[in-house]
Amino acid sequence: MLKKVTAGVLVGAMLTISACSSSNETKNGEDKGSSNKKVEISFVDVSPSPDRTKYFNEVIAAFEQANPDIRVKMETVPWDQAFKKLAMQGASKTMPDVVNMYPTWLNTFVPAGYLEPLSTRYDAWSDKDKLTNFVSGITMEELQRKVYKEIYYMPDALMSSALFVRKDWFKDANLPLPTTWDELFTASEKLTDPAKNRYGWAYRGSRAGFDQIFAYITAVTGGESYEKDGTSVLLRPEALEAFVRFTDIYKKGFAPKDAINWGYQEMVQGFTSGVTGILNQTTEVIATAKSSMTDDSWTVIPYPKGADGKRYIGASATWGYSVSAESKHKDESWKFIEFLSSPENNLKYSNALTMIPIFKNEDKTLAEGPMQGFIDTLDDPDSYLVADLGNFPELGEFRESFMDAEVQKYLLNKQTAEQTLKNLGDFLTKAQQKYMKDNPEVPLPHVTKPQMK
Amino acid sequence: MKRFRSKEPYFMLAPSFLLLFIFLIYPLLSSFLYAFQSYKLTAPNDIGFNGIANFKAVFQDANFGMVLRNSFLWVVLTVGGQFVLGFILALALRKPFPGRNFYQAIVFLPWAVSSFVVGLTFRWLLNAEYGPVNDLLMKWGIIENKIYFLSDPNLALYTVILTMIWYGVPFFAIMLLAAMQSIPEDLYEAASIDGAGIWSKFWHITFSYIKQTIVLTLLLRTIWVFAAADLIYIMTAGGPANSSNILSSYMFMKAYATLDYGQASAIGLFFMALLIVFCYLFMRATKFEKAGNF
Repeated sequence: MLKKVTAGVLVGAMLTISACSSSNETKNGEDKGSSNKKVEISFVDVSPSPDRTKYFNEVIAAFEQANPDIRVKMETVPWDQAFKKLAMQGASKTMPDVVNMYPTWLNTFVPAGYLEPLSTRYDAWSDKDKLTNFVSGITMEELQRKVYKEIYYMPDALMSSALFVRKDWFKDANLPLPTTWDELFTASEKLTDPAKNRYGWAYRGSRAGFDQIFAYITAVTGGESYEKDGTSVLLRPEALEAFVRFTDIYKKGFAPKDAINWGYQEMVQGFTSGVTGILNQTTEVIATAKSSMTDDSWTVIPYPKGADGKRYIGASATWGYSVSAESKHKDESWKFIEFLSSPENNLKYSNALTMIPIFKNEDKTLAEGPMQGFIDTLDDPDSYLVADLGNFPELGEFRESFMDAEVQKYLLNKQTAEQTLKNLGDFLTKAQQKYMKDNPEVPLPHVTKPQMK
Repeated sequence: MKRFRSKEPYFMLAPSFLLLFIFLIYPLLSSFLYAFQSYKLTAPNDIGFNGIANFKAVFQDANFGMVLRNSFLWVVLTVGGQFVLGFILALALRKPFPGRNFYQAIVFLPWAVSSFVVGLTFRWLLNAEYGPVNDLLMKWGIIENKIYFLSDPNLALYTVILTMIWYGVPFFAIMLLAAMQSIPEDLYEAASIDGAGIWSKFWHITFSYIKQTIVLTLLLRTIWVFAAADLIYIMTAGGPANSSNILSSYMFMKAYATLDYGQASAIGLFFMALLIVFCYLFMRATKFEKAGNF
């Protein structure tokens, strides 16, 4: 009897223990591996798609062939959950060795100490001189070393905003393709015909919809997002005017009424399924549009110019590769990042996913078709890179749960435009001014001139 | 050996208590602690106790009143609708008719489908741009303009409630039908001989026989519906502008969109207190301990 009972208790205890300790076990396994000179590093892709997974599988196979003593285990997490999952993994010290990092996440992850500085490795990197000025000057220095004192990620490629338009609708309506915001607003009105279920604008009312409004607001504030003392530009009177003008696209019905719930996926679908005529999106959508629409029905045009004749455009590293501070195999992880960032692999990646490569394009063989258009737009003397919203840790909360709900209240006539901009502006001002007090050495986000050469 | 014998039950229970502790008590205690801390994953360096600041923030939240009102509507309309329709369905299925088993399998089907699939299907059906519901209603001339089921703040909550009712009707039907089938047929025969009509047969036999089941299913269902956030999350994510959030989905958004575990735990504690009060009142009102002989 005694034996039976003890056995029962033991089995129960072992079940619970093994259920709780599975993560420890894998770590032990890794350590054993390193003594056999075979190291396994984990890598997480935060925006999986069939194209990306295919690319990464190929490049990992090539890497393992070149480095027989390193194995790479790839994991993926859907984009909508990526930040939350990584934040939790960081807090519980289980972040994978190599992480696909979204640039604004550094605000949270660097002060928390989840990421390994890569500065010395980057400074000694042999391909460093081949980077475009945009990457080496802005992405690496302005946006990383000047803010965080160290470099934390290697950009995978660059992404830039652009306008996707229905060429055939513009032709039918006898409209020229817009080059300024004014023409764009007129066009979105003229293309709208609810009877045909056609609307001018693929309006993004939810999940980062405020970014689209802010892109227009920066066109009237000269690309700036803060005054010198850290006050948000949203409190300027011209920002209010711009806000009302942009949101009128929705309020006056030049976008489907449903669009108040539209996020990334719905707005892209709204464009590719022929409900809307203009879509403000980043370059990676080219691949989607190519596969679901006929070539003569759509095209991509450069971002419009503001009233001052200048073009204020958002462009940044799409994602980057970072090493987790908890990683036990930092050298191997860097080796993998170096391999991903070689000029050949970077070009392959950029072409497969329609993004802008991080290296100089000296012989013009690099980018294909519309991608060269993006590079030329950024290189144009009238193009400026808009300032971002800052580096304070509350930015995650602002973006994830605050900004869109405030704008939706205005769209649904539950709050005035003045009140909406005051709420948004006060949030940003308070957070930015607090950040400036705590980090006096970090420069204010400001407008810059991109250089792709 | 004898001393061991007397303790034997505790040894046997130990593993399950251990599991309960790990998966129930520990999370409960830690959420209790989180509720009194500033615990935001977006600010991992500022974690620490902050008294009742989380509760203050939650109760002063401009959305909180609307969320509470929505929760009330959600529970009352959903459970009420599911109960009435489930009861009717159970009554209809009680007497045998040709093809009953087949019919029964079809109407109980929604219960077997994952709520994720239900949510996505209804979201597509009710989509204003390419959903078939609006399209058919317009083609049949029933409506002139599209109905924005999920993007109109006055409709979004009711749309999800309708979906939830459809989804939960089979649960009531299954439970009530099982109870009805245990009613002995001779009771009805005896009643007929005594000259009872349909209504008094229903009231004095069917209803009073299954009263206990009704009380129990209503209680279970209310708790369950009150805590169910999945359909709301999938169909509207609480939008537009929080107009379709209920307490549980609001808590979920706080925890997983804002990553503010402190405030989410505060909502959770409030939520638990509400449910405990509700269960107590419900059991008193229905004389639950006397097996529902009200």
